[in-house]
Amino acid sequence: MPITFKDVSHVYSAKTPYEFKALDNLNFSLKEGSFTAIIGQTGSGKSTFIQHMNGLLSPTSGVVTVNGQELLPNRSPKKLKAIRQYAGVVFQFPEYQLFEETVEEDVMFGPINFGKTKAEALVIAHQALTQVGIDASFYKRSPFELSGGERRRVAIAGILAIQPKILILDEPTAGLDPKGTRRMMDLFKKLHEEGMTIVFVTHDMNLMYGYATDVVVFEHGTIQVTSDVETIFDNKAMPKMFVKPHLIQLLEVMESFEKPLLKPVRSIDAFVQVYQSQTGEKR
Amino acid sequence: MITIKNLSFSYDGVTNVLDDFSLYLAPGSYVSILGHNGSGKSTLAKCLSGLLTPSSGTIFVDSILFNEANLHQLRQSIGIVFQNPDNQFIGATVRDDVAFGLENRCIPHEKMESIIQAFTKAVGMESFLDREPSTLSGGQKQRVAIAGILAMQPKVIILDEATSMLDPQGKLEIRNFIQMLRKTNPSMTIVSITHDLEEAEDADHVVVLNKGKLFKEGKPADVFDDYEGLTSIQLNVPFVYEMKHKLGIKDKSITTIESLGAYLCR
Repeated sequence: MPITFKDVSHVYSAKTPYEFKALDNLNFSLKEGSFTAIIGQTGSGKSTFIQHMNGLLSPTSGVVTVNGQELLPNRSPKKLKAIRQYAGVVFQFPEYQLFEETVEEDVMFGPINFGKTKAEALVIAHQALTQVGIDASFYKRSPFELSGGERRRVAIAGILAIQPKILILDEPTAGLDPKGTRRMMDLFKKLHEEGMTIVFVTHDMNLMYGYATDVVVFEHGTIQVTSDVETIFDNKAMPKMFVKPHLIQLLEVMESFEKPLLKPVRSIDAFVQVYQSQTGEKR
Repeated sequence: MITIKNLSFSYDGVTNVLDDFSLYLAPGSYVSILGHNGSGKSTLAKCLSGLLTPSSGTIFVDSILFNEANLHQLRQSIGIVFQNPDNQFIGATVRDDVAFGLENRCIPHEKMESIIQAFTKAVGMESFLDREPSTLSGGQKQRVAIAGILAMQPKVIILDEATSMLDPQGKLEIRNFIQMLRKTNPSMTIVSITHDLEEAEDADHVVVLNKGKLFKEGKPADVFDDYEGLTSIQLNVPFVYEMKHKLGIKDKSITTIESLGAYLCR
């Protein structure tokens, strides 16, 4: 297992009036090669959780194991650099973290920090920028001249350039318009197909349903449900407050008329295809 | 309630972010304003709340011409809730934050507590009255900001992507709250600038902005039936309308997942 949590708790401001238990005795194993969605209300512990995945936070009790390295309470972890290179975290609104004078220098920063030469870092940076769909005409431009969506892609390239095995994203589509959202998620889908393990925090049940393979549901600092995406809404422990994806709602209405769709679908286009072949209806 | 005539605004004197924009908003109406990033939506909200002075054109609120002389008076009748909760939390606690606006309006102290209770309860924050802002999540802070504006009982409330940083539960609470507000306070005009298409479906009237100009307006169902038009300006339509378009369904009466499902099983 690439990342495991054993009896992990995290308490902020312990023994003060502001003491807050963000993670409460949590156990979890990340599936290698999965596209895992993390869902839960604001304040349920999702962000604290992902900050443990690459050693930005250590548990206040319990143990987190990242690629064989243990993160323990009150002990500065050894080989933190290896952990950081193994699991790359992209925070919310990462475009605000760009700082270099050109796009390519910004993306080179990570690999140079991890010991690559400038020449090597340049090659890696160009590869990473190509992966996120930023072409050569952008390399010498200032990140601040780019649009918000382009800047976010550059920031993600900066993490890809450290060549992590696991990519962890905190609400990667927040603030993007619908087209930008789709393009961003398609990028992660491609990386996943190329073998990367992807973890993303989202509030959008439709995105979760359309892209994830596995789902982790947070509630009050603990994991309420872990499931594959297909059966998540059949799970009795799934809190009712999560509104079902539109597609599931529609399929349920059709089932109530005893005319169910005959094949499972997770996208509008797939639905249209299956429905039309099932009814013989052509537009 | 609000009449906007030939409004233009430019930040740099070259490009008009709002370009000869006119709109009438009826009293007590609930209007959603849609547009992609950079379409001029937020600039419009800032002009309406007097934070920006238009380059040309006029705005009438309650038949009063918006100008510098009566800005103070007009701000009494318009409340705005912004996108980022961290930029609008003023008090040291939730209670103080909601009280801030009331103090500015010289509400007697003995009346304040019950108003604070009522409006924090309405947004589901009544058990957080003594909490510090730094211990709240973004969504919780935003609910406090909405409570603070509503507590001042403005005639017009502008929500500038106010739910975009909330989680689904938070969004749903605010949506339900707006519905309740419309029943309890039918004369309040609600203007919601949003990316959330389902939220826009709740409105009486949808206004679509593109490049600072009015692209389309009308009832939600009429606006969203124009799939090709809206997608051509980088917008999406709600699930049901995308389905209708892709399945070639022309029936105007289908606006919900239930009616779509029933139609598909006919």
